[in-house]
Amino acid sequence: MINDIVTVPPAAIFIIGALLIPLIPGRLKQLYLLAIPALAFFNLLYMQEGTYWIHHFMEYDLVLGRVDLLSKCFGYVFTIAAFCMTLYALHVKETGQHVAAFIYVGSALGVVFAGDLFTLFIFWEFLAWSSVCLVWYRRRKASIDAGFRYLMVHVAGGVILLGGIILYIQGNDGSIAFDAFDYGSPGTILILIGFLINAAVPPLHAWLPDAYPEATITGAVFMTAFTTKTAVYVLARGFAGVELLMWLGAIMALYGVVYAVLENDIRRLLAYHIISQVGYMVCGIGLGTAMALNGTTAHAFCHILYKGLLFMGMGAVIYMTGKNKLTELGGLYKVMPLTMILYMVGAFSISGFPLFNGFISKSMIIHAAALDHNAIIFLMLGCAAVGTFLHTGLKLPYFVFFGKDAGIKAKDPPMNMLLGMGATAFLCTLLGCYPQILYRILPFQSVEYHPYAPAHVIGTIQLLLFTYVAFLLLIKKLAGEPTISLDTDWFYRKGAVLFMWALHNPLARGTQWTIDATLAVKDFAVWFSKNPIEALSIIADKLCLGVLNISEGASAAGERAKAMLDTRIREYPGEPVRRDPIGVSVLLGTVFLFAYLVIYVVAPHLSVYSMIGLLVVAVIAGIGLRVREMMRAAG
Amino acid sequence: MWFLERWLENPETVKKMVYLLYVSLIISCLLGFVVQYGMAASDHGEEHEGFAFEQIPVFSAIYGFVCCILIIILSKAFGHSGIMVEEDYYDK
Repeated sequence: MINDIVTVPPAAIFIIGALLIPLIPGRLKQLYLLAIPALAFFNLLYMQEGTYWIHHFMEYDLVLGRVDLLSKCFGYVFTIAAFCMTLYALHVKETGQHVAAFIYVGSALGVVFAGDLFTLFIFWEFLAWSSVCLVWYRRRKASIDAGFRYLMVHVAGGVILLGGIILYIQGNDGSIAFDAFDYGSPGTILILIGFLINAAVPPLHAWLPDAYPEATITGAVFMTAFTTKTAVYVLARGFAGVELLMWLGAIMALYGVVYAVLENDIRRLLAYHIISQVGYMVCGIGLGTAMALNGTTAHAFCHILYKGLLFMGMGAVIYMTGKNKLTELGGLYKVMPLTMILYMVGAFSISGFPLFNGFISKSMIIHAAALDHNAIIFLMLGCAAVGTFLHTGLKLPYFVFFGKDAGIKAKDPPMNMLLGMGATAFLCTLLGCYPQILYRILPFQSVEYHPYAPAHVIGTIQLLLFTYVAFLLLIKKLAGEPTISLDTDWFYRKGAVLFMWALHNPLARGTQWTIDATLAVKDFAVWFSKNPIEALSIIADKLCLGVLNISEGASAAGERAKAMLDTRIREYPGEPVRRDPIGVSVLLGTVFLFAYLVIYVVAPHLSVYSMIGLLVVAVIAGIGLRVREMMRAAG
Repeated sequence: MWFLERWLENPETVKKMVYLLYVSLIISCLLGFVVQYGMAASDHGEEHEGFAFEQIPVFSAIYGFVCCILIIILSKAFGHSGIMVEEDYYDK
């Protein structure tokens, strides 16, 4: 009677559930918080494959439920992870944090089950805005700043995505269905860039190691799972087999490893390993074969669990000790043994130890590269696996739990945090021991993969053991250094400083100059129009005085003439009407008649140069006459 | 968890664990040979032959060791070439 059970969109359960959290009183709230993910999981179990929950909006069909094996697999892990993470976060008193986390999970589920690009875009934006709250709730200046940078990147990514969607729809006869894209048109390239930003593919990745370590202890655990894995899902759906992604993914896997060597902040080190691990998935999407896509889906599933567990472990360390730097921690196994053991389960999982879940999923992608006869990708991914074990499995636990005892007084975290970690650790080992549970829900049921082939098991054990030997040899070089590492966020963090400088200096000053210049012109016009003839005369006299000073040097008469001019300027506009209007009119008449004579009678017979020469002579003569007059008046 | 502490900080145990490591290294390499030559006959069900370098029984061991050393040395060299800066770099 499965068909009789009414199911609802999983996104709705979380988002409506989130809005009701503030209404639930007291201890009932904790029960309610756990009930929501559980309800969503059972709802998902009964969801039939197909396309439904279609809403007609304007001329488009918005599809809230496109259910197939791929979307269901991501749906399962999202709800399971949400349950474990909520358990871990149960002690948080602040309701707002739970609301933000649930809206965040809900919008991730919304993207996963979206059958059209508009629905996808709307949930995509929700994802960014709800997750930034998880950063801001830490309420430190560093978190607020990192949150704004996070938001800036994601809003820019959202706009790029929307632009791509609109271009794509125009070129696609108005169809908004979200299926595999025919990669190559400008629209699909923009959509790909939008997706790659959320998948944290270098060089578009810097928001992730910037923001995640600044989020709240519990918020960061949620954030590790949903944003990047939603992006992996949409990439797998839309861009499977795009070769570019294969190379980007392999580079990404190594990029995270390199930066993890340099990192001193324990959660930022783990954040760089998210980039590395998502690199495997992006690479698998680029390979595009059934085996590779199965591997990508499986790895996303396992990754969400073990990365959540690792962040829970390190979150517990920060929560109990208040310290987050390798250089400040050490010897914690004595005071936080349970945290250490649970963390190590996550570390063995991410490193791909046999019997842990990383082993059964990571190797699928590497195996797919081998089936593709791509030795370079195969070796790059193998190298990244070494780096993963080196940092997450050896360096981090060594310098946090063992190493030099920092003498920190702490104890294991509250019971709910341990239970959350325990549940996740249980799932990691369960899937590692019984991989068929996971393989049965993968999107391509036709391919078979057996992780526990003897050669593979032995090869993995050799790889990990000899990595351990190299670690022991070079352990001194690996100790944390009290530094931060520059990454591509340098461009916008320092770029913003440059931008603000450009605003304050050239741009602001330029604006002020145009205002000043306009006002000066206005002032001059006002001054000039009060008595134009006197004004012209003052300007001419000033010019003449200048000429006199240059030709004769300073003289007593010149000083007096200057004093007289200054008096006139002070008294300006003075008497506006000249006392001898007739004389002036006659002079002007003569000037104009002379000008007519020159222009109409003389000019046609002269060249341009002689005209200019005449003009210069006239000006010099005029100045000379005026100077003589001034000297006489001053004399 | 006092027993863990007492146990791990005992020099005797540390010595034993180092021997254990040596033994497991040797066993893993020997098993590599066993899988390569001993089980080759029964292992032809696999759909791909693998790369030529995978035929070396201890390839993974060598690759893991070399990669780990290279990752550490090259990354640190990269970091010290100007990527690692003081913690208050962005506050200045």
